[in-house]
Amino acid sequence: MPEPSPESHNPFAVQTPEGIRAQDVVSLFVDVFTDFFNIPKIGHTFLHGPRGSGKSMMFRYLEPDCQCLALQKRVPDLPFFAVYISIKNTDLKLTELQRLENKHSALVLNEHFLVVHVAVKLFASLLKVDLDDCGVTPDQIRSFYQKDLKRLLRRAGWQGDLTEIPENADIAECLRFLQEMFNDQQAAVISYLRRLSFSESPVAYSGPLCGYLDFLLPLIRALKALPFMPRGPVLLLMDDADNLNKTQTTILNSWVSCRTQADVSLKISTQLNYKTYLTATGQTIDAPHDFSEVNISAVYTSMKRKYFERVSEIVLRRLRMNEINATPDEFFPPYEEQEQKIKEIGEKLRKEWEHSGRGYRASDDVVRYARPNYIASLQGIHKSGSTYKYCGFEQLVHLSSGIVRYFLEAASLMYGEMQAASGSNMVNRIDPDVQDRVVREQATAFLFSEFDRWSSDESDDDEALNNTRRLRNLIRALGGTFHQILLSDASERRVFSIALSEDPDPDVLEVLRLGVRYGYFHQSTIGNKEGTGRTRLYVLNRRLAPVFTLDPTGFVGYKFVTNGILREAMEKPTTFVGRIRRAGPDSVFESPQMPLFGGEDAL
Amino acid sequence: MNETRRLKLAELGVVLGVVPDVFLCCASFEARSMSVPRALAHLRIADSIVFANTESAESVASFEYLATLLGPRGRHVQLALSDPLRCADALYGAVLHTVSSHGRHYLVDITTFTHELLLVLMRVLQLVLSDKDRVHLVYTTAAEYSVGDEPGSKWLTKGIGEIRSVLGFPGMMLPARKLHLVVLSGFEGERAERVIDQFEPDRISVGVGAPESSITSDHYQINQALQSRLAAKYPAVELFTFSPSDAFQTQQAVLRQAGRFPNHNVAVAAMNTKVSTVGAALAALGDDSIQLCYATAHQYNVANYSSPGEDCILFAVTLKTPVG
Amino acid sequence: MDLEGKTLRDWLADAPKHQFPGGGAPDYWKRFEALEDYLNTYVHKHVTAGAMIADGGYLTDHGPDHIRTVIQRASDLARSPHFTLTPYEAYLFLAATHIHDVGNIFARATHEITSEEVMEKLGLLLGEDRVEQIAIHSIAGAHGGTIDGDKDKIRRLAPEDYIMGATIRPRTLAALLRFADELADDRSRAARFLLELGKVPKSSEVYHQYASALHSVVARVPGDTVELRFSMTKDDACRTFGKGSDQVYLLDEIFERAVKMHRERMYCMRFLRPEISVERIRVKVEVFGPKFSGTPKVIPFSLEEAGYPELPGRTIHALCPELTDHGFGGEINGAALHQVLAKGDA
Repeated sequence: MPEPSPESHNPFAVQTPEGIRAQDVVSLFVDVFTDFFNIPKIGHTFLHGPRGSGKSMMFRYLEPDCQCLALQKRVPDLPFFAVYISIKNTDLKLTELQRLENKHSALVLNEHFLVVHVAVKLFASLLKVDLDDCGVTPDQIRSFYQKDLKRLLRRAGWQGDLTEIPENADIAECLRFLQEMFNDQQAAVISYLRRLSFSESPVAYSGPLCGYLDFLLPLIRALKALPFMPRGPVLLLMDDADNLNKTQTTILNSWVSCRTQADVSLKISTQLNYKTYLTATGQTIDAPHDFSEVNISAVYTSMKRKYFERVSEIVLRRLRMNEINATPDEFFPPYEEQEQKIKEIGEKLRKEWEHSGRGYRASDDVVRYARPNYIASLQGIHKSGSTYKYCGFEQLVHLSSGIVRYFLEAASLMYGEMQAASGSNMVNRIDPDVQDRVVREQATAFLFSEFDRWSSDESDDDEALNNTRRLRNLIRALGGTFHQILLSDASERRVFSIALSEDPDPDVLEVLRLGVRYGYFHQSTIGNKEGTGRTRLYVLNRRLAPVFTLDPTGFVGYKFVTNGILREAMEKPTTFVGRIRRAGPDSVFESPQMPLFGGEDAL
Repeated sequence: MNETRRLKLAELGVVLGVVPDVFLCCASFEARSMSVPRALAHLRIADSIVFANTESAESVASFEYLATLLGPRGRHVQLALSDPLRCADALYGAVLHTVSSHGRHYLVDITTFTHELLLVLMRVLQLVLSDKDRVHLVYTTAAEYSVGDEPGSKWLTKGIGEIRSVLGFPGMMLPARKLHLVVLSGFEGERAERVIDQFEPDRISVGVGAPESSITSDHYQINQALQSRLAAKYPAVELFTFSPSDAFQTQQAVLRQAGRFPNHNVAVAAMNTKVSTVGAALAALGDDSIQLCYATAHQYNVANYSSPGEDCILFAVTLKTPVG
Repeated sequence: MDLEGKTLRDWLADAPKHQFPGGGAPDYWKRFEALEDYLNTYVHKHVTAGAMIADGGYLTDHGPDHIRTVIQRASDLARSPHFTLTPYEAYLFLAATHIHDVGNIFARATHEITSEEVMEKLGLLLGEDRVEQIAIHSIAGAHGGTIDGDKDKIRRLAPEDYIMGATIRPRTLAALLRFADELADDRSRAARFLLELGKVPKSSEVYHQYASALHSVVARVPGDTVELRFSMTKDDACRTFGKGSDQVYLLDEIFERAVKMHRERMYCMRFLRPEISVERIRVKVEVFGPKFSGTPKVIPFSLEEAGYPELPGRTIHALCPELTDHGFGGEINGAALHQVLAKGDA
């Protein structure tokens, strides 16, 4: 995303990391590599996470211009040389390429397309860094071109003359020349693909064909031999590999299956929609044999303290960069009246614990019941509970559900509103009302981006059911259920998750998968009911808490469900919630023996 | 001559003057798919082609009605929208079948083609027809969208499925360049936002319908609301206006905006009226470096998508010589 | 497949045009003829000499006769009743066969790779479509050498691919070429005249003696067997021959090459089964008196995969090097895991 204009600079403006200057990246970046230690190391790695979970920022930080600043080193002294390769939605996945499938060597042409794309980005990375004091001369680059690159191009089938690098070109001009050569190659491929658009029969291709093993790998090895390159591996950071078509995905998997890590390690990010793990020759690649794997959501959903600390640091840095002298808690204050009331309820629980307490300690009861009791009390007075305010830094962090961008986007909108309301460019805090309104709007927009809105008098029989409709019903049913549990007298009222007590039926699994894809659920695993293995766990995205008036601060609660229960929720959500309202959640669910995370759930 | 006329549907036959040789239309769950065919049924056009999406039961019903309306002169071509290649081949084959060495007069009812199919059709017409052929496009306006819903709750589609480049308009997306996304935003601002989010472009240009050329004043207000929201979310977004009812003005607006950032790859997502989508097509037909893209939806407001208006917009396009 | 008594080459000549991509345009048989003619006239007869100049050794024959022999062997294998080949695949295979050794002109060590330079010279003789050229080159290139240190080149090819609208099986074709090439080392390759005069360079002596001794190679495909027959004189059996800087007995060379052929058989059959199945190599070595007189001493042996697959000395750690250092501080086994878990370091 482009940079905002200076006069209205919003400290929480979301920018595409690719476009951020190295100095700003280093200032903004919070080191998360202790959480994801495989990423900067030798070896192929897949990094999965929804949009906005910080993958691109990690990759950007690994680029040599940022690393040189962060580590205060020259390029040759870096531990690795990272090449950032963003794969935008329609960069490589051109519809014309479908003409090749099962017709004319889709594999070699797609691979050539991908290799050339990577080669351009490789030279782009080199152009971003200062190589002047790295012991390399233009003549060395010319020699690399003459001896290595030309030979590789000829082997790849380059016909005709290969022009020379201009005589007096400096290092940057030499690299730009080489980059343009690959750019031109990409243009030639696109021109070929254009001819395929409306041709049902195959069209002969007479250009060069570059593969990973016969071109890209030797090219990178030859580059590594130049004095400015670090001794460590080249990391190819393939960002948003979901945007490759299926054939390109199998090709990338074939690259992963090659044991080239010492020279080239592939770091591949996905948004949980990676098409396949088959290679071009039909084998599978697997973790941990072929690659290591990280799921950001899973890490931050379970390591709640870690995520809170990360977001705190990020916010603090952004505030400081914008000369705002407040802590995150001060900048995003809670609604004092509400917090005071919750505190009073907590004190009461503490006093009563000895006689009627349920937790191991008094503080357990305070954490588990104070806020839910407060929400329940609002229900009684106002019949809707909608005056519970979602504000305060802690709540906002929880609501962002492990995805930093959710927090930043909300904060950006809040900041914009405060600016507009005050007529001033400087904002020193966000009013609780503004916080609450923005997160509610965002929650509604998030939910109804995929679904049409439901109405209170909507009948269960109104609409034909497809998977989207089933998912909508399921979320409605679960959200309503979790709210009922919050209002109940259950020992654990802050339930956000369901675990499957049996193998899911295919139709049920399909709907749950859709929910994960759309971001409404995070998927994880947990020990099964019998204690004999593990089963799937689906955690509702906390961003939806305001829609159903749930307490987002609790992590512990989950319920076991059967296929039958889920199917009922998908088909008859209003009836389902009505039953729970009347007969209580235990009439439908079974509570687990063990809590999700060892009992401790306060931050 | 780039003249665009707005007229009553009932006058369409008269305004056309001569009976077209070939009529193309697309069946749809929208009632508007039947407006122009009904208005022209009395002309008994010699060669009519009805396209229909076989994956939608509602489209099939409209298809059957239109097939009956157009009678034995009509040809029926089935399309599976989930397979863009097969659709393109079907469009290409159908149009090729109509070609004559003497030149023919084509009338295309663009109202209820999907945006993607319409763009592909424009490319097909450019490839297949000769400069002896004449092409008129007609578009039925909508009296209301998301019929019966309150302004804040109107919806036409939900969710973004796949985003893909439109066959025939791959553009020239070079890896050394950054991405400039141009969105012709329509009714559904959220959809435009999600398309922007999915692309993560370096430059964003959002086109909103100009007030004087919006189809209705309600549409203009909706567009204004979108404008404010986008400016809040993407502080450096560039806004520009285009005409939802004038393809040539849209074409110029798109070309102008695409040229705002040299050395950028340009992708255009046309999400407003079909008339403006034709404008985007004209821009890309004249500038191969522009990629056109299309976002599929998970769900359509089939029951209440739109209600037909009484007016239509008629204009001629020249496809064989470089446009713009 | 029923080749009607012909070799694959002659079968290709008679294949109906409509069975090729383009339905007859281009004419693939004419294209192959032009390629064959050019290579036989201008390239193949120089391959052996070219390698000698580059390398200083004296290779056995890699010229037109060798190509013919490879095609013959491949045809024998292709006669397997369960095997089929489309005419287009036959074209690709035969084109690959013709170029597979041409890199010898440049250097023996990496001749699979430098075939590309020859391919570039062949230009339109290989057609104008680069994808088709690459397919031919990949099939040819898999007959030996390594890719990035990995000898398993055939596995890197696709089991199935599409060129010009036709389905081809690159792995199958590459495996067929590779095994046929392995079987094509026979008497015809030996520089017999020079051998008899003692004029073959010392470093290459045993190669030519081997080829000269191998007088019969028969692939019995219904029957799953390849039969090799060697014959030598007592004098040849009792002396050593030059091999590089060493001296070796001919029988030892036969043993070594038989093991290599057995390995190649095992490797290639992975990609040819079940359509082609060769399960054993039967070898018969006959040692005659002077000038091949008298009753020979016979040394028969068979190489086949038989019995339970023992892996003597091959532990899991030898088979899976990744288990030798698992980050636990050494080889991982039950005791090591127990130790680590007990310490609470897992």
